[in-house]
Amino acid sequence: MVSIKLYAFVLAPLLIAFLIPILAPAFAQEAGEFVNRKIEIWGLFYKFMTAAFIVGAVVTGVIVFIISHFNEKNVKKREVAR
Amino acid sequence: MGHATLEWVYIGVVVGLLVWIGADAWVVEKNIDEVPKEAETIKVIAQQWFWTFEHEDGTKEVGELHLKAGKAYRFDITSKDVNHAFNVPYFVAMIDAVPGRVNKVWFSPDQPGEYLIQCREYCGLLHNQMRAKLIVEA
Repeated sequence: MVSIKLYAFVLAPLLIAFLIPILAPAFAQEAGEFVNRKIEIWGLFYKFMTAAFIVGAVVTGVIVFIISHFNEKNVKKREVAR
Repeated sequence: MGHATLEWVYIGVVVGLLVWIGADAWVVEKNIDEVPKEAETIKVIAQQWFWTFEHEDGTKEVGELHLKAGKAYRFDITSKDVNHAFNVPYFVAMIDAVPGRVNKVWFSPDQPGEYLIQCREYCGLLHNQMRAKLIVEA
């Protein structure tokens, strides 16, 4: 039986892959004769910032969730804390 | 849901993003490095503390560079004395000018106007004055 961990590991990148085309129009440049360096480079910078903020949000979210969920004062999870 | 599941989600999201960003950075770098065949070559010579530009037809300009909007230009950049760096901030173009070496960068100015060319590698006393004017004509 496939574990939930594997599902999570596979589904998370799929979720990202699903979101990319939705975000793509924001990064697109208008068609021209030559590559516009300015748009390409600033577009890449924008993508880096998007990735950095998503990673930041995920990491922060996971930390906050773990702290609150597995807190010793959380009565429901007291057994886990022990 | 325990720690492990969360960690797998966390790893999955980060790996997915890194793969996406890595692939995209590779594509952008490839696009930017590829000089169009029709690009006109301009020799750029840096020296303390001014810029000399030489067009394909042999015309030389000092401290000023005249280009046409919508055309692609390839810049072959070298230095006569110390290390400099050729930078056109508006068109996001920058590369070192090194004695005995020719570095290349290209761009296509899309809008007419006057833009700054500036040395971006400290090259001595008047480094901050080592500027040139890029004039893009329609």
